[in-house]
Amino acid sequence: MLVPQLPLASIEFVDGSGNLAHMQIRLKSEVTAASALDALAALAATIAPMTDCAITAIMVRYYRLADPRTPPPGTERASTTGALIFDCADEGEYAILRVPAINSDFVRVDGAGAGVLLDVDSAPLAALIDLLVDGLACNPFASDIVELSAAYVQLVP
Amino acid sequence: MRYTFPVDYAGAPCYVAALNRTMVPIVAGQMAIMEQPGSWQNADDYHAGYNAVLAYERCLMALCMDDLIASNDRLYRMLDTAIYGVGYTVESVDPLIVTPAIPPQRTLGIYSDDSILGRMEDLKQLLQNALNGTETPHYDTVPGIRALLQSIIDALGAEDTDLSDILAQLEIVAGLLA
Repeated sequence: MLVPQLPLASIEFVDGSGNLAHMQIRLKSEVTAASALDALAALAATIAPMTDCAITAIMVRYYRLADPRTPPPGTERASTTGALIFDCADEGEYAILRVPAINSDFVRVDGAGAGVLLDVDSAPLAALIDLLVDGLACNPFASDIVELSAAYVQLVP
Repeated sequence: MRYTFPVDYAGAPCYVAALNRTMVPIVAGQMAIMEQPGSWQNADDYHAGYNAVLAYERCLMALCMDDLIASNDRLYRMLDTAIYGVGYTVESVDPLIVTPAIPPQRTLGIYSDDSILGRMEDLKQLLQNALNGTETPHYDTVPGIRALLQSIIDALGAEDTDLSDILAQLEIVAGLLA
């Protein structure tokens, strides 16, 4: 079960030697992301004259935690990922999503791509792709995800 | 190390590098770090670099090879139709389904008289029939030019030759050659 947590606001600092530091504070649960960032920006502006660090970022984290934690259902390593590469709405724009520890049940066992290509016709993968295509997701440059173009296993470092 | 994105990327040619299938997950996985902003000199380099890296990862197992295979199949079907006369039907465009499936081996034969082999067979039958008088599936005009010329020669050698008969034979020869 994923239990909601209070939003975590954070200001990132860097000193003259390049050392990073973070200041964190919890926010009330009803605060929206936009108003949280505005409040955090005001907080950062107030703190800036008090510190010899430069402020490099402000961020707010909304999250839920698994409680209780359940053991992993399989033995695959997290670095074995199922990479889904998408075409985006703008020409030449792409996006990628990697599923950690992709279960071998979703890897093709025959044909030229055996052991590498993902079986995108399997119901769970097809459902995941449907959620991403024409959904809320975009690439880091705000181009909407529109179509799957490749799906295969990647072993990330 | 932070990279600067190549300024001549758009105009540069692509190279096809053979990669053992089992190495694809490892090589592609190594590219993940290049998808991070920290790998690039600035935001513009990151934007261009991110998409160039993903375009490469995409090609490793997807569209490039699929396009090549599809292009190869199109070429096969074009030659199969032109040479042998085998007809193909596009059942669906997306995904592309064409029937009949490409066979492992093409049996020698003529599947349409409009194919190259069909037209060559037609020419062969025409020549066989016209020259030798051989009856073929497409042509059954007899006798052939050789027989007619021989009969003209024979007639010219005879003493009581009727020129109108010879002219009639020559007209038939001319008709066969028309």
